[in-house]
Amino acid sequence: MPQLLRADIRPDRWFIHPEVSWLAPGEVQADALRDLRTMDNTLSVFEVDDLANVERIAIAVASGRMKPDVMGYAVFDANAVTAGGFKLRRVHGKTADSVVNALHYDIQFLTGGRLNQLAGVMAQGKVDQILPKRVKELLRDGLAAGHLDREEVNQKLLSQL
Amino acid sequence: MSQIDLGAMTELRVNLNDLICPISPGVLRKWSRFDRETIETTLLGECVLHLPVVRWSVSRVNVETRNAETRSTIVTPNVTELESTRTVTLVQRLSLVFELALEEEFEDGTDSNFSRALDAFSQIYGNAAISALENILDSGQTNSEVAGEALRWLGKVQDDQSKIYRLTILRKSLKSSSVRQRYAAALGLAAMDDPSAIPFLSDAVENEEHDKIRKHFQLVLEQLQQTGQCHNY
Repeated sequence: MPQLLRADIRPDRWFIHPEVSWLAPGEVQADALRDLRTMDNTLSVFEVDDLANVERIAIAVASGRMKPDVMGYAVFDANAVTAGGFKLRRVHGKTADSVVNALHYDIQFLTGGRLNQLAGVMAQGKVDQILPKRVKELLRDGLAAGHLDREEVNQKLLSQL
Repeated sequence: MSQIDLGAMTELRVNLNDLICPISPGVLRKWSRFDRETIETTLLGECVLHLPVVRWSVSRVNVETRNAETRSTIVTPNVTELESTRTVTLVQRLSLVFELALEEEFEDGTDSNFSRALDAFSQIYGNAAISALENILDSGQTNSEVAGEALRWLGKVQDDQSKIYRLTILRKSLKSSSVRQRYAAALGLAAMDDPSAIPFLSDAVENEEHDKIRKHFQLVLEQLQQTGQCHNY
C-alpha cells in the first residue's frame, strides 16, 4: 500500500512554509486540523492502489455532498503512516462507488497529539483539488459509467447534476 | 444603559415576527459581557444567520431565556427601540455576521450559516451589501478563514445584478497580501466561470511568487479558457 488519500480537505489550510511565512519548515497550520474530523478517534482514508484512481476516489466522496463544490484531497505516503505506528484497519467505505469502498481504511486509536503528527505526514504529501465545474462533470461521468450507484448518491446533489 | 446577565442562561430564543430563532450556547456565552443595546443589535444579526430573509420592518421581538428553574422574557424592545437598531450601518451589521462566523466550521459542498446570512444580506440590500462586504475585506482585520469563505461565496451567488461588482472584488483579491485570500479569490472566479477574468488571472499567474498558488491560478485559468472557447463556438 504505497499511498493513502484523505478527501474533503481545504488545500489552503494545508499551505506550509514558504506560502505561510510565519510557519517554521515542517510545521502545519492549526487550521489544517479542521479537515481531520475524527469519529470515535478514527479517521477515514482510502488506499490509492493506482494514481489513476485518485479522481475516482475523490468523486466518490463528493457524491455524498449536498452540492458539486470544489473537492480538495491529500495523497500521502502510507509507509510513513505505518512507520509512525498508526493503526490502519480496512473497513468497507460508505460512498456511492463500491470499488472505492473496497479501498477504505480507518486510522484508529488517534489522540490529539497523534492527529497532529498525522497532519505533518499528510502535509508532506501532495495536496490538490478538483474545481467545482470538473467535479460536476466527473459526477455525471461516474453515473453514466455506472461507477456511482444513483441510489447512494446524495439526492440533493443528484438534482443539481 | 441596562446590563443583562446572560451568563447563567442555558437557552435563548428570539421570536422575530413570529419566526423563532434559536441562539447557540457559544453566542450566548459571548454575549454575557455585553450591554442590552449591543445584544439587541447582535440578535438581529444572529437572526440573519438563521432565517432565509429578514425584513427590517420588525413589529415584534421577544427574547426568551431559560435556565434550570425559570423561563422569562427579558427583552421586549418596543418599536421605538427597534428604530434605533436601523441606524446601525450595514457594514456594522455585516461585521457582526463576520464575528459570529468565527465560531462556524466551514465545509465545502454544503451551505454554511455564514453563506446563508450573506445570501440574505444580498437579497435585501443588493450591491450595497456587496459594498459593505468589500469594506470589511479591505479593512485587513478579517480572519483569513472567514474572508476566504466570503470570497468563495462571492463567486457562487446567483445574482446577475451584482455580478460585475463581485467579479471586480474577486479580481482585486487575486493580489491580496493573504495567500489564503488569493487562493479563495481564484476559487470564486472558478465558480463564476466568466472568461472576462482571463486577463486578470493571466497576470496573477505571471506575478504570483508561490508555486502552489500559481498552480492553482493556472488551473482556474485553464478552466476559464475552455469556457471561453465553448462560448466562441
